[in-house]
Amino acid sequence: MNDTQGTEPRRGRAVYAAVAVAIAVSVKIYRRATAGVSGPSLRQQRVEGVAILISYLGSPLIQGAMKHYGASNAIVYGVIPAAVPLIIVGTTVVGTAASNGNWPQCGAALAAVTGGVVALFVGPSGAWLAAGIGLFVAVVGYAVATSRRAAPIVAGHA
Amino acid sequence: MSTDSLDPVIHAPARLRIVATLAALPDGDALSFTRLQDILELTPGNLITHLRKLEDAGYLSSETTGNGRASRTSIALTGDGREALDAYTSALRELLDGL
Repeated sequence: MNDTQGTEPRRGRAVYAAVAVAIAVSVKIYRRATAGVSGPSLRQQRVEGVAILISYLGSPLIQGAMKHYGASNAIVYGVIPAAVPLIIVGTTVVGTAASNGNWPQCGAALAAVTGGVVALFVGPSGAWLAAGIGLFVAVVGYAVATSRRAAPIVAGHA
Repeated sequence: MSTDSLDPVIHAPARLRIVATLAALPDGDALSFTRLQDILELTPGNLITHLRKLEDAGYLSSETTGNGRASRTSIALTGDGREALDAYTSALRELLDGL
């Protein structure tokens, strides 16, 4: 029991470090990809990005509240970090994608949300598996949809 | 179907690359001259020549802001340019289907 209590916070910190690195890399790639681009869609994307970042704050707030009310480390550091970001950020992206008519992105976000919901009910170890499967389906599905949309000439001859 | 149906303004390789690059942007968005030059690896003079032909055909619009060294030129595909590219790709597809 003590071992579990000792390792779960460390795992939680490792997750946050990985998320911080992922965000930093994503921001760098995004800036490089949009260098020199101007216009209404870029402004809209920035607003959406801020909304997604703000929504991401929901996860540590829920973790803090649950810790405060005595939830176990397995729940606070095992289940919540795996499930809640997918649900909160995913539903935010579902909303922004639907308002833009970006249905591939909307579908991908729904897959992530579904993974998050499943992760809530399968325990600390299963939570990360469910979250990983949900994210895998979301990312691969979105990549396939984007590649088909981006290569109309190739698709026409497929 | 003959090659006459291919829009000669777009058909030149450099201009096709310019139009295809700008078509990847959402409607209403623009790309800076320097970024476009970096992507296409064209000399400034060469790029300006092709941009002028496309702009004369009504396929592109450009806007310059600022003065002197701080000036920035942004280039965007017009609605006519997007339609012309769609027509060009359709004509090219039909031509290739005949092979």
